[in-house]
Amino acid sequence: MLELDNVSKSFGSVQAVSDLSLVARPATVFGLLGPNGAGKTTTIRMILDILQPDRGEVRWTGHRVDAVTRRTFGYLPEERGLYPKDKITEQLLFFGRLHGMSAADARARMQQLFEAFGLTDKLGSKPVELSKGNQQKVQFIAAILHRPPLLVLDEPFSGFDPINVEVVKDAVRDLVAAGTAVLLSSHRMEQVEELCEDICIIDRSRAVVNGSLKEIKRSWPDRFVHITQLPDMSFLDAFPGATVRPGANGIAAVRLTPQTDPAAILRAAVAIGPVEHFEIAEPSLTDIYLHYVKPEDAAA
Amino acid sequence: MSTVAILAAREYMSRLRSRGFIIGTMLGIGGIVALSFISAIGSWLAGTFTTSIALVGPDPSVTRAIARDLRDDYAVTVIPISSDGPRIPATVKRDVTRGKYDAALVAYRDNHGALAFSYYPAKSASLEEQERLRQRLLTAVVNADLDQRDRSTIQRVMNFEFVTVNLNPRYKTAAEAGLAQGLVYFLLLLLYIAVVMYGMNVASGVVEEKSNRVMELMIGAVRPDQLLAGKITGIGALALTQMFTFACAAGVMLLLVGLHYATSLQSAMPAGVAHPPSLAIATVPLATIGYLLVFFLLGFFSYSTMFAGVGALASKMEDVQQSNGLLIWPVVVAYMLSIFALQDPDKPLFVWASFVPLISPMLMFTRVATSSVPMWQIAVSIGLSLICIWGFTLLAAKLYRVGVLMYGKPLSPKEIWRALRAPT
Repeated sequence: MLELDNVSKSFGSVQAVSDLSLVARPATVFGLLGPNGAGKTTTIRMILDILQPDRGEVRWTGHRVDAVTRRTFGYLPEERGLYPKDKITEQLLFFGRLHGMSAADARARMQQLFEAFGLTDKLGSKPVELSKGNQQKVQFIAAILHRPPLLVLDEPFSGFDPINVEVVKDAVRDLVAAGTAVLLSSHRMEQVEELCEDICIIDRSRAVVNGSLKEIKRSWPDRFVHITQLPDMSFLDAFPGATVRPGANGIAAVRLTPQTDPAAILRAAVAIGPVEHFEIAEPSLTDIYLHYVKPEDAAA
Repeated sequence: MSTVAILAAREYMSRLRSRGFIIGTMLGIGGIVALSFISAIGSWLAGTFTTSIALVGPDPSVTRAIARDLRDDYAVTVIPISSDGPRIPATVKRDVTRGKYDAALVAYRDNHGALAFSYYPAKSASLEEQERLRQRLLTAVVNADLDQRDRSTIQRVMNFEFVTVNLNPRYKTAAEAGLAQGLVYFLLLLLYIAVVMYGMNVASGVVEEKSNRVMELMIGAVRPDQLLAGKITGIGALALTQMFTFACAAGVMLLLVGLHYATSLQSAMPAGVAHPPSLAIATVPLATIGYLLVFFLLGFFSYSTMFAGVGALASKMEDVQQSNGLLIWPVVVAYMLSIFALQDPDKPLFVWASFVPLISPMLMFTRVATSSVPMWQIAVSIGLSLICIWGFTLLAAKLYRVGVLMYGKPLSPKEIWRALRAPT
C-alpha cells in the first residue's frame, strides 16, 4: 500500500503540492487527475523519491520510501525515450538490471512480455527501426519488466492507436489482477473512468476530491439525464440550474439540480419532439472533473 | 554488479561499438603508423648530413682503426690525447660545447681490456642516431679487436659498452632527450585530444540522455550521483581503452623498427653470429608512460566533472557547444604552455603554472618527461588536482540533481547559483 501523508513541496515561492494525502491499494488502479501545472508530476516525483517533500511523508507498506524501495517501483514517465541506436533487448536488460534483476531473469521475462505485446519479431531491433507505437510498448515493458509492486504510469496512453490502447489496458488489468498497485495519471477521462477504483483530483496544488470513484458518484448531489438531442433544447430554461452539454451520437447530457425531477424533463421533452433515448445517469468523471476544475485553472 | 557498474558498462559497451569510436581509433592507429614511417624517413635524411666527431682513443693504432671505420659516415678528427677511461678530456669538452665539433667520442679499454665507448653529443642524439653510430662502432670493434683475439670471444666483443652522455644539462639522459624531441610532443597531443574529446563526450552524453528522455526512465531507478559516476567511469574506461590500443600500435611499430635495425646489423656481421639485443623499445622510460597514465586520469577527471555539470544544466546540444567553447580555454592554455615548456621546462613560469589544476595535467607531464622535476613538486601538483577533482565532483553531483530533469531555456548564472544553494 502506498500512502502519502500530508505531503507538501514548494519550489522557491511556487507551492507545487500542499498537504496532499492519498492511499493507493494493491490490486487497484488509483487515478491522479488535474490540469497541467496542478502538481501531478511533482507528486509522482516525490513518490519515486526523486524529490524530497518539504513536509509530510511518502510510505510504502508502512515504511518511508527510500532508494532501496523505490528501485522496486516501476515508472513510465510522461516524456520518455530510449537510446535510439542501441538494441532494445540490450536496453531492457540494462533497465532490468538497474532495478536489481539478474540477467537471466530479465531475459526470460523480456521474452514473455514481448510475446504478450506481439513484439517477438522485433527482438533484434533498435528503437530507430520501430514505429512510435512499438517504441511506446517497449517503454511500457521497461517499466514493468522487474514485476514492480507499485507501477506509476504518467499519461501511458499518449501516442498509442486505439488497438494498442486496448493492449496496454489489458496489460494494466493483468498486473492489477496479479496484485500490483497502479497509480495512473492521465487526461483521458474515459480510460481513467474505466480502470480506476480510486481517484484524486488535484487543482492548484491541492486535492479537491479524493476517494472511491463509486462513492464520489453515488454521493454526487446533481442528477444527470442523457436524452436525445432535440433541435431546440430551450425547454430546459423552465428548469432552474439545468445545464446541457451536447454529447456523441446525438445524445445530450443534462445536469439537473437535486430538486429537479427527471420525469418532468422527460415529459417536457416528449411534448416537443420524438425522444428515442432517455436515461437517468450517474455523473461521468468528466462532469466531476469539470465541476472541480475551473477553466481558468486549466490555462495554467 | 553495483548500479554504477551497470551504468558504466552500458556507457562503455554502447560507445565502444559506435562508428565514431571505431573510425577514430583506426585513424589514430593509421596516424601512429604514418608517424613511425615519417620518423624513419627523418632519420634517413638526418643520416645524409655529416656529423663531426672529435675522437679520443686508448692508443694511436686502435684510434686510427676506429677513425677509418667511421670516416664513411662521419667527419672524424682524431685528438692526439690517449683516453684512460670514459671521461671526456676538458679541452675536448670545451671544443664540443663551443660548437667546434657536433660530438665527442671517447674510446677506452674497460677493466677486462675490452673496447668501450662514451658518446658526448653537443645537443642531443636521437635514438636512431645513437643506433646508427653503434652499428658503425660494432664494425670498428670487430676490425680493431678481433685479430688480437680468437673468434670464440666474438660474442663478448660485440656486447661492447656504449654510453651516451648528453653535454646539454637540460636533459637528464640522452634517451630522455631523444624522447623529449618527438615522443613527448606526440604524447602531449594525445593527452590534449583525449582530455578535450572525452570531456566533451561526457557533456554531450548527458544532454543526449536528457533530450531523448532516456533520463526520465533511468531516474526512476537510480540516483543522479550514480548516473554521474557511471557516465564518467564508463567514458573514462573507454578513453583508456583507446589509449591502450594506441600504445599497443606504437609498441608494435617500435618493435618493427627495432627488428629493422637488428636485421641490418645481422647482415653487416660475419655469418653465424647472433645479433645483439635491440635497444629500440627498451629506451622508452616506463616512468614516462606511468606519468602519462596518471596525468591523463587527472586531466580527464578534472575536465569531465566540469563538462558533466554543464551538460546537466543544458537541454540542447547548442547550449552545450556554447559552454564547451568557454570551458575549453584552460586546456588550450595548458597545451600552449606545455609546448613552450618543451624548450625550457624549469622556467619559473612553468614551474608555478604546473601546480595549477586544469593546467597541471599537461604541463606537469611535459616537465616530468623532459626534465628532472623534484618529487615534492609532482606531489603538490597531483594533490592540488585531486582536491580540484573532489570539488568539481561535488559541484557536478549537485548540478546533476537539479539539472537532469530540467528542460527548456538555459539557466542564467543567477538561477544556477540559486539552484546550487537550494536543498534538494
